[in-house]
Amino acid sequence: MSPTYLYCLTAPDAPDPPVATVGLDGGAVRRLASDGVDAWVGDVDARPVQATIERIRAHDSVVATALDTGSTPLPARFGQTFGSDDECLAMLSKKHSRMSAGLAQVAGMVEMTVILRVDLDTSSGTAYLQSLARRQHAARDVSSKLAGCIRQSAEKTNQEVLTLSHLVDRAAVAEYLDRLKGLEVKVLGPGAPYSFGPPE
Amino acid sequence: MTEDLDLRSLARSLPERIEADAEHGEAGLARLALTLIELLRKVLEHQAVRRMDGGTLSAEEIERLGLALLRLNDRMQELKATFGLSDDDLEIDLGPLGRLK
Repeated sequence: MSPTYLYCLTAPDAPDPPVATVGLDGGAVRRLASDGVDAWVGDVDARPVQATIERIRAHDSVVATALDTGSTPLPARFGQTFGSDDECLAMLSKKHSRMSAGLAQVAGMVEMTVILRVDLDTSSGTAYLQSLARRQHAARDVSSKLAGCIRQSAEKTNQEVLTLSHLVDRAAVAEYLDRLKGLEVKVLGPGAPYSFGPPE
Repeated sequence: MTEDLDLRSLARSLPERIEADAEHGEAGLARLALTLIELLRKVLEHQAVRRMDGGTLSAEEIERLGLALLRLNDRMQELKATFGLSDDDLEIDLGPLGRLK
């Protein structure tokens, strides 16, 4: 029996994967129905699945297809495999309440991402602290512009680059983009809610 | 970012169990320790900016605080390189589904 690869979780009333959906290594994508939380899965030859650019793209493209059905999925991280469908179903049943709460949280939502770049001046302690302040203020400006337009937010800093992820109602995406006009930021999305997991 | 929220996300990053295998255990422990230090570093940065914004710091204090944070950041980069860890490894949010097994 080939191992089962997990792409994402979907609500029970979400559509099936379109027949043309292509997964890892050109494989088919099918739906695994469980009690209350369904999964989009595929077969892989062996586990673990080595990460390659092509495979990560394929994974993300399946998740994007799920998002395009109109029902927001909970994306799995790349590389989650199970020995069989039954093992995957056992996980879904064990984590059922957390996963369905997670799905309910992202229902009707998409993830939007704002990327800010603030150069960090390391020429002196004062210059450094001032550049940290600029980064923090820029993030605050974005948040205040978007007030009332986002359901949830997550922040990630990697030196000069600050990534703000927002969970946004599908119907509010146009307004979201509108409010960011004029700010020197890069906006990505709408995409699947990779940054917003199920509550603890 | 509030300290409260960070602590909640931190709880999610703690391993469900520690690897017993010595070599892996050590790497796991380094990652856990650095994740904690990174979290504290970010809290300190936010606090420093807040204090500077509040106008309660003298020019000398700003320079000293900035320098300390700068050194902490440099040291952190060195430690990450030493243990072969990326920023993503130290990310406290483990992604939508976290660990499934």
